[in-house]
Amino acid sequence: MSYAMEYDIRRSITKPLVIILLVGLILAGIGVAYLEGQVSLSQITKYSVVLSYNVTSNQTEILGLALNPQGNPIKDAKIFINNGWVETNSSGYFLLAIPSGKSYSIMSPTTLQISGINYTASVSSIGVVNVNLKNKSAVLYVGSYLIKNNFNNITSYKVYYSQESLENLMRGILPKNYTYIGNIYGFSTAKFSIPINLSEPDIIVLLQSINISSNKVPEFNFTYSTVLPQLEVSNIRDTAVSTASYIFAEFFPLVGLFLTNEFIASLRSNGAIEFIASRPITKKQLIISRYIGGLFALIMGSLITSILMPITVSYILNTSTSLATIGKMFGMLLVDTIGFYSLLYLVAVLVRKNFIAISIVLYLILYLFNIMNIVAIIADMPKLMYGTPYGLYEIVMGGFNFGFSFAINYILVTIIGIIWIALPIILAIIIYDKNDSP
Amino acid sequence: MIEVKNVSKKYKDFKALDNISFNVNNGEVVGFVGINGAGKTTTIKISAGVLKPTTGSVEIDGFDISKNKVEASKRIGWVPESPVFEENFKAIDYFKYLAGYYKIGGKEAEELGIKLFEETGIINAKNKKLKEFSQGMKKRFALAVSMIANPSNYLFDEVLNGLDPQGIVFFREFANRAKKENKAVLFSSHILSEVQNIADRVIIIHKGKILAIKNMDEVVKESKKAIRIAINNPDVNILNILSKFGEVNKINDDVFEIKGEVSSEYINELLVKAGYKVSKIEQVGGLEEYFLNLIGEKVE
Ligand SMILES: Nc1ncnc2c1ncn2[C@@H]1O[C@H](COP(=O)(O)OP(=O)(O)O)[C@@H](O)[C@H]1O
Ligand SMILES: [Mg+2]
Repeated sequence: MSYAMEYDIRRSITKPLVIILLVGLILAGIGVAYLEGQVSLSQITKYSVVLSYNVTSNQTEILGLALNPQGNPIKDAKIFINNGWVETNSSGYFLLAIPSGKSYSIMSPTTLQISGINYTASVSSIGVVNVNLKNKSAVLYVGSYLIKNNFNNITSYKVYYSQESLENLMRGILPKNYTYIGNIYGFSTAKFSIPINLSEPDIIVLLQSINISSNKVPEFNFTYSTVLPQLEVSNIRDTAVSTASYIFAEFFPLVGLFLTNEFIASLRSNGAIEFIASRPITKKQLIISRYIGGLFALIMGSLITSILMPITVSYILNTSTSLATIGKMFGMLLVDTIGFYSLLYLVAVLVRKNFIAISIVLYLILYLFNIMNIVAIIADMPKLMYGTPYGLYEIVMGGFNFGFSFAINYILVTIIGIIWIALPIILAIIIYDKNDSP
Repeated sequence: MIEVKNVSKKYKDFKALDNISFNVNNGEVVGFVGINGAGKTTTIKISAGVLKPTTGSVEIDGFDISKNKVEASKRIGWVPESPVFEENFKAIDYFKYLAGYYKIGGKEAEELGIKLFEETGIINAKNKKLKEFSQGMKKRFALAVSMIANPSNYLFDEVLNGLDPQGIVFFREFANRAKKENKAVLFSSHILSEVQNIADRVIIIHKGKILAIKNMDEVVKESKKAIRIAINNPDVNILNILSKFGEVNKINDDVFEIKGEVSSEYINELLVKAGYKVSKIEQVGGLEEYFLNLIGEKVE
């Protein structure tokens, strides 16, 4: 049986149609990823408005500095802030004064207009500009926060900086190690050169008040964070990879349909299976050998795709990719394709005619229209989305949730994934073995 | 040796085989004869391990084809009635693929393929796709594949049906050679005369039941052609005259049958010269009639 199985495997991975389908799907996926990446890239905010505050008992003064991505101040820029437009002077600054007791609103991002053209700009007490991914350096602008009232008189801060991964920050984990980069004095904007770590897109700045007068004055700490715009691309990359891989995950199962038809269904329908069944092999061995032959093609296809797609997308977007992305995609592609492939083997042993018609209907239900998702929405039962292999794929690869918000239950994903892969083929083997004819 | 033991087979409610038993011994070619639908193919597929019997068992050289499929299958070659393959393969590639089931691979499989294709006369079509093969070539290919493990038992299902004379001669010779090599060959056909010259024994199957198992010489003897003569008011001397031509059977007072190699015209002429009044003279018997008589079908 060993040589025959080897042959089945070799045959399945060298089938021209399989190769053509695979290449076509990967290319289509990459094309979509490219478009997705380009669109998102154009939406990243690289302009910054850095604010300093001077809070006294009778008013709050806000000093703003508009900066372009290269870190140059922008003169005569119009900025929409506090429900109105302000204009920068020839040094790129504007000043707002708000009487105490009056509320004000600062929103980020906002619109920044240069010679009538609108850009998006982030508004914050810090701004990261002139990011150089090659030299791993950037320029950090920090605005001060002066407080002068009956209790405090804070005029200067020590500035610390750190970088953190987005995940940690989202979980509320603040950095433990900060680097001291200098001081900031008075009502002004300070400029620092910082090194950047490409793998951690979040920059966190800590301002620590300097006690000049005495130890009666309480210490003030402020933390600000911003995402390095250039590193935000890696997020885009992940979204682009997901979107691209949806295409692949939606259509790749059709390769399984083709293989199942080639390897078992058509042979049962035209009788060619009988000649094979008369070889020294049991029916169990026969169906397992054929199943594994096709399985190999699907595993290879999934592996190649989960390596090629993220790498290509990263290359297009000029970023790097991670082994975690590749691993996650590979695992989910296996569930996505082998789940269907196993089901098709079950269909192939249950019917002798009409295999293709039945499989296509199943494909439409489980993949193209993923009816389970529709049911999940109608019944308002988000967990139903875990019901199909493609649903699992969408959940894990894209946090795809139709507006339901739930954390991904990886244990559930694993259990249902394994059931989809294993149960149909086990049933198929048992039923096939019990059949009177091969 | 092929031992079919109390095999019955039901297709849903239809009983295709009803408790059939027979053996094919080593060094023996056995004809398996029955009209279409008698159950020959069903029996052969069960013996080849392709179909499961509803009850009963088949042993190949002592190995049960259901319980010990792998060992039994190694010892039997099957040439199907109308072979179907994965037809997009080239002949040699499919041969090599199937050889893999016998743990023969690579160069060894290629060489074996060439040798067996030469033996079965399809070497020139080695690189042709199987879908381009004629029915006869497909049977030869099936034979080449069935010879991979040089089994000691063969099942030929209507192999001669639809073959050109050359192909018929080839399969007959193959069966004879197999017999000399002490192999067991079961040769099915819907025509008794087709197996007459090859088979040592013949098994007659009808409607899923075995009607008769006979030695071929027995069949030949019993089915010998006869001349049936009806004579008006024969005298006592008639038996003496007729017995010169062969064994005489008196059917009734006026009707006689003579078995032997003699032409009816010659007898007729002689009897008329001797002054008898022959009212009817006809040829009766022969293999076909014998066969149809056995299965109880009316001769037209
Ligand atoms: N797969 C099947 N399903 C139902 N009936 C069948 C099947 N195969 C054969 N038969 C029936 O069983 C009987 C025996 O068929 P078969 O073994 O092919 O006879 P033979 O080879 O002697 O012509 C026939 O009546 C045939 O119609
Ligand atoms: Mg038949």
